[in-house]
Amino acid sequence: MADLDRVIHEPARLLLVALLRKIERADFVFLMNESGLTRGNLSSHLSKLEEAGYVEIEKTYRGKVPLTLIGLTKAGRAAFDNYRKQMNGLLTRAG
Amino acid sequence: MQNADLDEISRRPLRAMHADGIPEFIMGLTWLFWGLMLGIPQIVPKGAWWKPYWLVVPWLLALSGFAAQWAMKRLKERWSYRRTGYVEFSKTGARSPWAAFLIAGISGIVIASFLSSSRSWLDLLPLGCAILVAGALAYGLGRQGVRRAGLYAAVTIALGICVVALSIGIELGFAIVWGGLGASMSVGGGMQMAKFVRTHQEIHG
Repeated sequence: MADLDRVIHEPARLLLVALLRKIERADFVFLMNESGLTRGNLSSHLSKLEEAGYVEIEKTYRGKVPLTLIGLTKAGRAAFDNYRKQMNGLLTRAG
Repeated sequence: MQNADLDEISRRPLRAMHADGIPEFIMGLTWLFWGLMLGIPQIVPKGAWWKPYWLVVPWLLALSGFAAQWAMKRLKERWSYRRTGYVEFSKTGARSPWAAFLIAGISGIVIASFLSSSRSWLDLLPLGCAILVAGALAYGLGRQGVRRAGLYAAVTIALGICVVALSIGIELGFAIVWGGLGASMSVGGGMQMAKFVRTHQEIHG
């Protein structure tokens, strides 16, 4: 358990990383809709993931409307896959 | 969270892509166009245009695929992204448009050459293709959470069976299968689009 990546282990952040795993990028609205998190909570979790180098955040515009695009980095994908492997191992040993 | 849950979560973006009904609608219109392209020569008397027409049609069908992608993107920008957010999927390789054109060209030559040969076994092709398409629809769209996937698959197989039972022939047979499937998908997708716009408010982020 001590080896588990604490950044990803937190349920809300795990949900965000899982949502982003199979796509290039998604915007803030999509992640908010799918995760059910509030704007503030989502921002805070994304900041933590960005600090860990797991997501890249690009702030841009679509026409005149602000658009925040979020995508997993290589390190983020690797961390998620590694986390899954570790959890798999733990669950197999436990049961 | 179990691995199965994580798999389900990872598939959500793909499911969200179909929530607005736009892919179904555009795919339906594309197949309706295919049905028309294949069906029109059956109602116009054959002439010198017959063979060149079949050389051109596969290119038009391939082009319609790219037009569909463009239209889907525009419609999603207009109706969907402001409501449920934007998702960018992995890009198709740069070689795929050329591969599609190559396949279209070869198909054109094969179809044109078969048209002048004996072709009783070819009359079964619409049913064969209908079964393949139905399987792909049921698996592909079903996995992406499209609730009407089974219905579309059933419509496709029913049309394929009708075409063979009534000995309609390959060209008109394909026209009926594609046209019927396209019509049902564009109606289903259109209804889903209307419901989506009614039930989702625009959000800015």
